[in-house]
Amino acid sequence: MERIPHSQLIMLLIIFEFTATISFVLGPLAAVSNYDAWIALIAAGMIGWGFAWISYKLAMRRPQQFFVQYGSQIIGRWLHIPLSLLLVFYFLHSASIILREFGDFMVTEYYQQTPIWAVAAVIGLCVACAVRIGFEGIFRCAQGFFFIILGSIFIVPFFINKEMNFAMMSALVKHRELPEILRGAYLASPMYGGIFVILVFFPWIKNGKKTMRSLGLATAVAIFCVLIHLVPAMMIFSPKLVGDLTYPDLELMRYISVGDFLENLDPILVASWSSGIFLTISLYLFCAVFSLSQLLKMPDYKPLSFSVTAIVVTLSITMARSSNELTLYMKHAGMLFAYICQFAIPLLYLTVDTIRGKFQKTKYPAK
Amino acid sequence: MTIFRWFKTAKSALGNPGLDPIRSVAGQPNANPQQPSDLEEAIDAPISMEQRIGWYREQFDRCSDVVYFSFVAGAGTACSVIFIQGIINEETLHRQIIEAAMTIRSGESSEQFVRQLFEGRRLPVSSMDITASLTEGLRRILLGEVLLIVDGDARMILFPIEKFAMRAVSNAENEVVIRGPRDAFVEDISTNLTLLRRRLKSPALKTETYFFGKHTQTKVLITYIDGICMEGLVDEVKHRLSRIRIDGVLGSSYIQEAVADNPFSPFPQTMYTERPDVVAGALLEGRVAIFVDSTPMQIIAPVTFYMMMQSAEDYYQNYISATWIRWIRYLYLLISLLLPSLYVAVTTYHPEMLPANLLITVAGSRDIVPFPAIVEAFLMEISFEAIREATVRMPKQIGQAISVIGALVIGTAAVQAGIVSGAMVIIVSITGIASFIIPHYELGLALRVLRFPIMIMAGVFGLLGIVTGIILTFLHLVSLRSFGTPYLTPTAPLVLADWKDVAVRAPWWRMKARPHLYQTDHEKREHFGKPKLPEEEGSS
Amino acid sequence: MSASSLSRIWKVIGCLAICLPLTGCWSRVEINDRAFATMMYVDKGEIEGNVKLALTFALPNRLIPSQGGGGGSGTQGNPYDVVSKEGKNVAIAYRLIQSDLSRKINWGQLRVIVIGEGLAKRGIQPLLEFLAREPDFHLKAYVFITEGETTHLEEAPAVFERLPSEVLREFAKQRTVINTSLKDLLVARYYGNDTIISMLVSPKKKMISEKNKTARWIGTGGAAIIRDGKMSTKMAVNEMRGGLWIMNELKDAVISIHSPTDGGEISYRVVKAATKIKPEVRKDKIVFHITSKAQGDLVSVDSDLNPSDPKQHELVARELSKEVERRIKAALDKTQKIGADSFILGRYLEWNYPKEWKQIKNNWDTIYENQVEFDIRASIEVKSQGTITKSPWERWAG
Repeated sequence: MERIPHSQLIMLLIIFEFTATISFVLGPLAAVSNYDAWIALIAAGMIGWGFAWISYKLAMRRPQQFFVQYGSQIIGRWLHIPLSLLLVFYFLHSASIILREFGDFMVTEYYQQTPIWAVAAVIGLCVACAVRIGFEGIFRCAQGFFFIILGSIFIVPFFINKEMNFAMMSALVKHRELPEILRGAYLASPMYGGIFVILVFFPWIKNGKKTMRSLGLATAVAIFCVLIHLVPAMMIFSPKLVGDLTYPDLELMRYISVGDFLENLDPILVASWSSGIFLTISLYLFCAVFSLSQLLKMPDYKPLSFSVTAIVVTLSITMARSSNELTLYMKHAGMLFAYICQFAIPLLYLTVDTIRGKFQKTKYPAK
Repeated sequence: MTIFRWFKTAKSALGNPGLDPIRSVAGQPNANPQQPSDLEEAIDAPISMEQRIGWYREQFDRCSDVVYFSFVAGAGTACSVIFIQGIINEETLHRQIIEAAMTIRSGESSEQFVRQLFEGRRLPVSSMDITASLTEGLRRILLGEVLLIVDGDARMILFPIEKFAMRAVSNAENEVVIRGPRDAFVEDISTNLTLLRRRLKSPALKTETYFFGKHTQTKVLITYIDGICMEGLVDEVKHRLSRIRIDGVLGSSYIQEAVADNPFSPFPQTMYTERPDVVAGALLEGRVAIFVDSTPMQIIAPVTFYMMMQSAEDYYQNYISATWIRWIRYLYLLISLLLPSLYVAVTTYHPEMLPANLLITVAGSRDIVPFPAIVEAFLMEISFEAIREATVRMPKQIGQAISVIGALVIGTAAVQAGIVSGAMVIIVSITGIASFIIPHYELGLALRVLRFPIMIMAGVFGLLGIVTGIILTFLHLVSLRSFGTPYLTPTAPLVLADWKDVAVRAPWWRMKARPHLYQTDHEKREHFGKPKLPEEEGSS
Repeated sequence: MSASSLSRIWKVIGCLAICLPLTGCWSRVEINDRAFATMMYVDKGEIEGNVKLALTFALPNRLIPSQGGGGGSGTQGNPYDVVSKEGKNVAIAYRLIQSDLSRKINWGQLRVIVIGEGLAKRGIQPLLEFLAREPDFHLKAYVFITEGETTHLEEAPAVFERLPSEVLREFAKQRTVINTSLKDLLVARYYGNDTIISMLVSPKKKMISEKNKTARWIGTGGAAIIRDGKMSTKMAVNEMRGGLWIMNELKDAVISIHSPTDGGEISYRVVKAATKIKPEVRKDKIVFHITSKAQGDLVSVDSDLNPSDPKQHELVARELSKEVERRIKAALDKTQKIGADSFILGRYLEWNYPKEWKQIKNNWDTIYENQVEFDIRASIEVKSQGTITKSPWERWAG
């Protein structure tokens, strides 16, 4: 196994952090934080980065080993296995939520007659192949798609700047309400906190010490990518309408008209970021499959890929009866779950490890 | 059995890169084309000439093209030559071997004659080989050498004066360039090697010979430039070649398929070319070329996807225009893969994508067509494939007629009859042209094949289907390697330094480093800076 | 990757690929099974409370020059048709139209929505409800209100364009009328639901293109002020032009003024107009500072004014600015009179004075009517003097 260079890590994580955010979180974010949405977004990114820092600190304690394998040394087998299973479930759950959101999106906007399971199955097929090809494949794929996806994201503001109402700028500067910012940050930070998945495959990263810097860069670029869609959307639609629209970014893309000829480029753009969604799901699923195979002490994770993907596809279809139910779930239980997994679990391991390290200085020399 | 042993020895020889290549491993018995199981070991030749000729007659039973000619040479030494008619240069045989041997020199005894003969002092030939093995002699006769048996001496002399019927070096037919050299490889491997040697006059150009094919005994050369090409790569090529066991090698693709990293991929993982300059360029980049006898197409490995998007012409034209042509090529690569699928997806799933006026035109032209768009697209694409295949295989004169008729029938009559829409004809023609723009035929073929599954996906899922198709293809491509080099270098993995010859065609004074191959250093080329005006040079 | 695992992947992909066509192509609709609605007319129905929906469909087979076996020659009547139905609401009327059509209605090309005056007076909310929920609709679709019934407009032939919807799109694109899109209507809901929509007129006219028959001509005429989701009054063309200044949508306008020297007509073409609005909250009132800047090119002079004289030049520029100010003022006065913040000036207040806005948000309409003042400043820079530098009159004058 070749190690993952930081350029690949950054590229995948940028896609990983911003595609789902831009597609599904823009509306709710604008709804809760209004004109402060952009600050909330930046705050969310920083919180997410902070969460990843805990995981990074934990991973750096044993940079040559995999978390799932050494975790039992820290807090004991009987606590480690359920917690690891919880993490695996969290990965599956995140993958299926994104898959479900994407399926809902496709079915409402483009394929009204198509059942959602068909869309989920098609994406699932790609994801399963990606997971099977492996870690390297996912990262290389991200690298290949990176410029196309980012290009399609960056091109949007250029085409719609004449529709934007720049007078609103003053509102973006003058409005400042802490509760709104906090609520927005609470809502969006799990999207960025997702980068704590580095914990699972940390030994594979080339020169692990530099990881934090890469994560910071990735988060910054990802925030920027979302901002260049969020701010124009607010300037065109006003934050309230952004909050009311189901898919504000799609409406933003539909606003594009190049000259008089090219209108309705949204399917092309949607196509380009659906590959981003695919990569996001693949990474989550890979982490799930990989951790699971280590928990089961399997020599190879590949046999699991198709079956676990099938689970994710089923989960995504059955997890909620309607998209409203999904939103409601996401707002409450889903958020809590995300915070537990991204923040609480790594913190628990880190604390226990630190305390243990203090007591048994000979065994684990403190850094 | 012998074959097996041969491979075993070959493999062990390959295990130590220090060892000489197979051919020079002296006395190695090789496959007898006819009765391989009889020949266990090198059979030492008996002294008697009759016995030896008898043995050869037995081996060449019912081979009417084998000639046995006995004569008395020098001062009464009985000799005979065995060769295969037509594959040797009989002129040389008569003049330099038989005539010279028959000349009686005054005061020369029979012993003297034999001694001088074996010392290479008696006959005016440029090269000769001495063997004591009957089987070796047999093998060499089949390769077009002349075997000289001298009565009373167990050693035998081999004269490599083979001369096969061959074509003269002619213009490249498949990879045509406007400004570059015109010559192309022919079937004869030694001519091909001369074409390469003419371009690379360096002792570092190494050529190592192997023979493959139980019955064909095809000569295969591994060529590389020592010091540029990584040793590991040459070893890997040798290792993969050593796995080959085959009845016959009739073309380079036999070898190509045998050494592929992923045998299930539609994408070519090694490249063939008929142009000596392309081979020379590849060698200079640190790649390996495999020459196969009796085929004008030589193999280059490792290759990347983007390498097959480069044409020899790019390097002979102005670099700015070459860059532009490259971009056009990339655009048409996408078109050749996706255009029919896009048409199907847009018209059946996303009509709102088209601008109103265009939509109405397309809708109007499709109005009388009785088929769904996907069926229409398939119909047209498959007919186009048929026309293309027919034109390639037809004798030249008929071929042109077919293509004209095909174009007329499908282009005009089908539209007029209302069976297909005019828009579809345009789409199919552009797609067809696009697939010819891809410089490497095999890559174009792979994309042509992939077009159809993607069309089905587009018919079932619209743009989402196309995206799925692209993702699956891309996943396959990123996992593909050619002799260890990731297929999509330098985009995935990203090697920005190599974009100079992928995204653009940088001028030669900017091509400082060789392309990045798997596990190789990024070696610096001999290079010079940007050309400067005299006054600039003075000031700097 | 071992060869066997890869071949297994191919097998799985192969199996799934075989299954794909079996599942059918759910959302597949051939392009010749679709009817492209290009324009939508909504009016009140004959029965009280009903809605009349009419859709203009393009007929593609008549729009392109027929080829060979396609049959029929070019002149088969209009390349579009209007289908109308009445129902309790828009959705029901839409279903009724659909059930009468052999093809599936596609909204993807719909860019123009025309609302009848009758329905506009009753309220446009139910329509918005339908338009906003249907995912295929573009928020960019232009909205117009027509004088009288929409039926008049349906009958009007599209003289210059292929389809009547093109005519209205071009109107909107030229920016000679106020450009109200579906998005604007949706945004207006957050600010008291007051807005402004430009109006169409369809006078009868003898048309040479239609073999001298009398037919209706689609034209623009003023705008409708929407107050609380209902059309309340009309705005004349001139006032609407003032509105264009406020909304910063003006592309070019020809403004005629009386010359300060002798009262003759001078016309300027105004380009590069840009308006800035800044609210200011004072003790008992709110002042909106509206500053407009533009550039005027001389079109015609019907007076003894010497345009090349800098002094006179300045006089004219001042006069021109005053005229613009008057226009803006007229538009604002009209809206203020009925207490409809049609230009959504409340936005500016929200952006710049978030706290104050929160307090007054709920009775903004009354505050707008009573406590808002405008400070309008226009400065038009007169630049070009046209192709000739001296007026043709000058010869006689001098």
